[in-house]
Amino acid sequence: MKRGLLFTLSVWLVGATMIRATLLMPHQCPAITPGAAIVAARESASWIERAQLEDGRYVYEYNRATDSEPGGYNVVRHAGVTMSLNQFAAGGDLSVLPAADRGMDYMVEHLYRHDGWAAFQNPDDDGVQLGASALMLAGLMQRRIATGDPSFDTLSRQLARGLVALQLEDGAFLNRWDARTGAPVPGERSKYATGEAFWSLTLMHRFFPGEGWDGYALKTADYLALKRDDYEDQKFPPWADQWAAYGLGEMANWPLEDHHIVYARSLAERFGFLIRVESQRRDNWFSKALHGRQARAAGMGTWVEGLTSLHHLAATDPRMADMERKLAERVDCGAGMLAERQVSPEESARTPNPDRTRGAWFTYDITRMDDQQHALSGLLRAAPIIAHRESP
Amino acid sequence: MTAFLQLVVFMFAAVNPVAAAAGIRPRGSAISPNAAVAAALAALLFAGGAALLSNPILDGLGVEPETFRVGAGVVFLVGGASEVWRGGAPLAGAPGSEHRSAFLFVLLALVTPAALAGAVTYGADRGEFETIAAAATVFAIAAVAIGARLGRFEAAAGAVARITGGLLVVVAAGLIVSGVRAI
Repeated sequence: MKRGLLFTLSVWLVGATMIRATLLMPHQCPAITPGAAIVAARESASWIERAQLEDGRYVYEYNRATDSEPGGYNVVRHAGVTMSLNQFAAGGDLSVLPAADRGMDYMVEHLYRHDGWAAFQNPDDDGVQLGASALMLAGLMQRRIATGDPSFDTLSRQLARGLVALQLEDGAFLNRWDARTGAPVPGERSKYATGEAFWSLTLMHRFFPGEGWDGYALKTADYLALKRDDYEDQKFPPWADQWAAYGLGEMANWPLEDHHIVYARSLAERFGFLIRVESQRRDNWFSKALHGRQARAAGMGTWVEGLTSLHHLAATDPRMADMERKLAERVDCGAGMLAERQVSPEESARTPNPDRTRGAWFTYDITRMDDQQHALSGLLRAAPIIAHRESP
Repeated sequence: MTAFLQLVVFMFAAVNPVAAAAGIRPRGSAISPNAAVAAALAALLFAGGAALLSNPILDGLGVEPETFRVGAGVVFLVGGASEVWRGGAPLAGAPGSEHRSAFLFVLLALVTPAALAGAVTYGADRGEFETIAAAATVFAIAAVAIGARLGRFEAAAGAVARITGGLLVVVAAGLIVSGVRAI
């Protein structure tokens, strides 16, 4: 009898230990205050400012192990980084505007024009990519929020018309325009750029209501909510699309239809799950073997961005209200992890190139400019949510 | 099905009272009704305590309820698969005739890892007191099943134990999916 009981208890103990060490690793969500989130976002913005080149572009990648910049560039990410600086300005700190404007000037200098619309054209290969123009437009919209300056309104409308020129009947967008043939490249969509264009068009409606931008945005909202994951053959839908979340957040008062809310809820669940899994990861071989490596800031930042937008939606739309508290918890956790993993001024002082390490996030000793972009946006937008959680 | 009835079904699958009754085949004499009732009450103390303390337990583990759902689902999966495989076969070790060892044996047959994991996860998700009430219902059924020596009907009890194990596998899948798809 005794041996049987002991055997049973031993089996249970081993099982419990195995589950604890794998699936039920504790979540680690470092505490963060709203002020600390803003400071971390400012450090990130400062990295981008220091990494800006004379022509308005930014250092694309930096390797701290070799103290080198491997080179390469991506115009969509250029537009995204510039957008994040404008977003920071829209948050109230206009000190980043000179750098943001230099980044914007680089895009204005490389415009493709066709039939009354405009698009940001890659000067290296003359490519006209939807995402680059969409994020350029989002940057202009953020700049307008920050300054109220209408001087880019005409260009904004031209860029928005350029996006619409690539919109398909089902609400999706084609990813490229062929400047040589003067026609869209058929059959190529992008799971990133459609959401980017969607968000930009929702912002256009904020500033230019009555011009019909909401109609284009709604068409894309339907595509994202009902068709995109099938079209893209997503194995584990929904695609964790923070740009779609931005757009849905912007549409919170339109109001949204039920299928948009169903989609928004599924996005919230996905971002929340990703944050939970990330908070169980550690920087050691055991965790890497079981849970994979820690996410880069460009990834985790997008999750926090998505959660903040959906939190806004949850705070506005009663159909999402039951998610508000949990969304705030996940935002807090994600922002805490981001801030903790950022290279501090003290750490950077011990590196060969503090200008390139301070305020940055590294994965295998490499940081890329969009690590700072997404982390900046996420931390900036997390701050008021953390403040609200802290208030009695 | 009401939410409470659903909870009773889930806890029934987690405890699997018929498997417990079928697995207890004491040498010589039947387990006394007193021992069965005492063990069921003690089992309720464990499972009820786990449900009542579910939130402090999860806080102590540093695990979110949604994440624990996935872990509980895996425990359910293993427990359910094991019951489908065993089909109410005798449990390891057999109790002697003394009251104390019979009590311990029945207690161990009822307070399974799935029962405890279920108490914690449902306690956190659906409410402590609903879970305790559901557990009490299931342990009462278990006491009756053991006291009535349902294990005598080996084939029938084995079949019911297997079906309940299969149900637990289904509940496990739902729990895992729900944990993954939660915020």
